[in-house]
Amino acid sequence: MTPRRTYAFICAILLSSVLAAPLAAQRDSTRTGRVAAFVARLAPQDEPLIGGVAVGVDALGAGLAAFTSYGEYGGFVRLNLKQKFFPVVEAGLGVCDRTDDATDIRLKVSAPYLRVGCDYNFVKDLRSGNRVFGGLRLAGTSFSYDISAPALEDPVWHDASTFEYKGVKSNMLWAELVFGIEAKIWRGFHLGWSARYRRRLSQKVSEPGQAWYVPGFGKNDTSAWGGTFNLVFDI
Amino acid sequence: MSTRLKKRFSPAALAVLAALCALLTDCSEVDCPLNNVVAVQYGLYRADGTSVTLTDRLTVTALGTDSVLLNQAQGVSSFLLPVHYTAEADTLVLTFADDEGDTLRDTLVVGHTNETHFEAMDCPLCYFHTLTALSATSHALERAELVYPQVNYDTQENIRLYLRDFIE
Repeated sequence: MTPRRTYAFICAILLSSVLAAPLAAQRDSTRTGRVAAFVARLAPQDEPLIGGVAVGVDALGAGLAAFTSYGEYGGFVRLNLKQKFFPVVEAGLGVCDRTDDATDIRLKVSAPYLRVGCDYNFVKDLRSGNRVFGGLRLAGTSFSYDISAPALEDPVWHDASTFEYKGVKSNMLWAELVFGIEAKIWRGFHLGWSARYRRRLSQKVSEPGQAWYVPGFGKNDTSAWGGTFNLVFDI
Repeated sequence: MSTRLKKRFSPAALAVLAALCALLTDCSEVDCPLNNVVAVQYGLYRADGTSVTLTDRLTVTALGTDSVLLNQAQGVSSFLLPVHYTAEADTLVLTFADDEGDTLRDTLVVGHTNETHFEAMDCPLCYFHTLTALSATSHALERAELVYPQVNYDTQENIRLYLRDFIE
């Protein structure tokens, strides 16, 4: 199965699992009625609408940022709606300072990013505190980067030209398909991870070319995968 | 599907998990070109547009360098010449020599831009060019024509050189 077809397949599963009920109710009810039917279908009635707020940090991204050439210092705030729906805002700072071993090209980036979206908890036992999430994010960043390389010598005329760009402006908008697991460790403390399939929606490519690293998105190549390891605190 | 698994997770969750596992086949790759030098492709033609295979010998040198860019080429109908990374125009000297040792010399001035091409951190830098102007003397050449201005990894004929009838 090609990545494009697989992606469409996942979108279809998510959309059908979330939207099937309201679509059926659309024909013979008002808008309010449709929302009520939607919530009744997917969220238990005995849970309060606002189940709490949680904050979390991504330890994997922070570890990568601290100990490798690129990564993200990021965190999130998440609302709990009836233990089923979890609207979330994720924000952070993506950093990269990398010099390629083979080409000596150096890239420096440090810029914020923002992701907003919602997770759906698939676990049936809502009281356990353990969760299996599927969700979507819309994410974006506007950043500038510095890129430089050793002087490039002309093989015929033998003069050298410099390659150095400072403050190259770029931006990217992308979507993420999220699958995650979260376990209750102690009281309001949870640990969890998420795998993310990322899809570029738009990108500004400036003169030196496409940025190798995009804050919040990661390595800007053909790989569409990312992940987080989350420390979550209910507040 | 086991009953225990069904109790804990909805079928939709398991379907999403299975689909995400299938997506793991999408992996990272970098395709760097083998050669990070681009060149202008020249083609040799008669005035009526038919291609010419040269029986005389053609040597090309450039002002500003001792390098011989093309040395006594014979039996060719096209050839590649490099572009100066930092200059805005290259002045090339084309010398046609026949078997009797008679030579005819033309000067070709090729105007161009120089754009650094950055493919990826893992790939070496190179220069791409856009040909902007072309002028030539007309001793052996009838005329020169710019047909494709972009000089990059595409292998397209960029310049057509129309030879006079006595150049074989």
